[in-house]
Amino acid sequence: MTAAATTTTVVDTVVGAVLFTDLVGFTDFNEVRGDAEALVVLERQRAIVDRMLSVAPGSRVVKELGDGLMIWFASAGAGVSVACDLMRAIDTARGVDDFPLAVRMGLHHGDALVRGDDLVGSTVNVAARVCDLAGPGELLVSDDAIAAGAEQVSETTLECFRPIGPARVKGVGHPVWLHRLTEPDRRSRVLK
Amino acid sequence: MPELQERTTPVTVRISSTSGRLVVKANGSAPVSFDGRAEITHTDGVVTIDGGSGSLGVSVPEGADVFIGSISGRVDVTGRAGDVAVVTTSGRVRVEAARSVDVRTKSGRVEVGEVELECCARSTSGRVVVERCGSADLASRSGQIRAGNVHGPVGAHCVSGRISIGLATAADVTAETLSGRIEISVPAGVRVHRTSTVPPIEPRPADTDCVVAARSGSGRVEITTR
Repeated sequence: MTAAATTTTVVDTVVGAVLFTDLVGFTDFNEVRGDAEALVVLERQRAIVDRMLSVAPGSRVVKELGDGLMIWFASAGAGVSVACDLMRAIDTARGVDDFPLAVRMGLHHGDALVRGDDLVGSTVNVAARVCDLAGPGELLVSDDAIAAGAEQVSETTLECFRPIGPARVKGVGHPVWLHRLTEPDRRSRVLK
Repeated sequence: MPELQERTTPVTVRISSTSGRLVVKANGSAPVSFDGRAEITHTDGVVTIDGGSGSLGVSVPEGADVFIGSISGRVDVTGRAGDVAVVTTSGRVRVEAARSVDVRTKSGRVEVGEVELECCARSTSGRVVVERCGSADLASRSGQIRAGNVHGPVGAHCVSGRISIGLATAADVTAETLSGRIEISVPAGVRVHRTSTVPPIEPRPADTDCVVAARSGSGRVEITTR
């Protein structure tokens, strides 16, 4: 009879916010415009992201996922603020510099396990799913991220978020409440 | 279209289910009730209904705010609701009438009737159809987008699909698709400033009423007056 062996691996746990980004239609764009133009788009996106992250200590791009990015923030407040700024910066780049594609983003807050330069765990998985639910030019933020960052984010920024309901996320037993970054003037138009 | 009644006693209903058809009826003034297997809790004016798999029918008062989270299964919101939000992975979503709508599904069609304020709808691979709304923010990766009788600013985004927008008044439009035709119709007399810069950056010329920023990678962009 062989005794069952158990192994315990000690890993670091960090608490913060994970942001996933995705360039909408990048594959089709690559197909139509070619590799060279697609590469330029990726580099321009990365330059914008690096500029935004430079003002958020403890933040970093964890990894590139094709046309998407996984970004880490040391606090939920930094995550919410920088994600909003990043969305606006890309919006501006789209208009001023003819950046060709819209980006969508999803942010979640919680703990993650450190694995080399990578991060793994449920928080990462949920953030990825939240990004999946976002539309072009849209930032979705989980309730956990809003709650954890509420005291670090300006009231003006918080007022720009609107709840959009409970999302059932694969692998998570309870619904994840989501909020959407909105343009305040959009909702003021009513039917005449 | 009759205006929504001013809400004196707002009711918020949160519904989650995993699979199975979900029907929400927003009629009358009776308290929230449901038919099917679920747990219901009441907290500070918010009614939460947690269902599992299987069909679920929920009745809410007219004008109630309804938030729905589901994994799969068709979702129908009938009657006249307040703010409606639906997040589901797969399954057709239909909302008959609401104050505002936010619907997102990965692989189902989205059909929206009348929305007083903003209508936001997203589908990855399904068609998005809106009959009438205030402003509109619509997206589908590979399905058609069609919105008629829009009374406010419009954002419409496809990767590979046709976009068809009917404005009921002078309002700014941003429409973008990588491959597909874009058709915008405006009421007679509305002076349109047209641009292919998306989103538009130049100020609207004083002698125009609205800006239509539309860009298609490989399709035609057509602005017509009716």
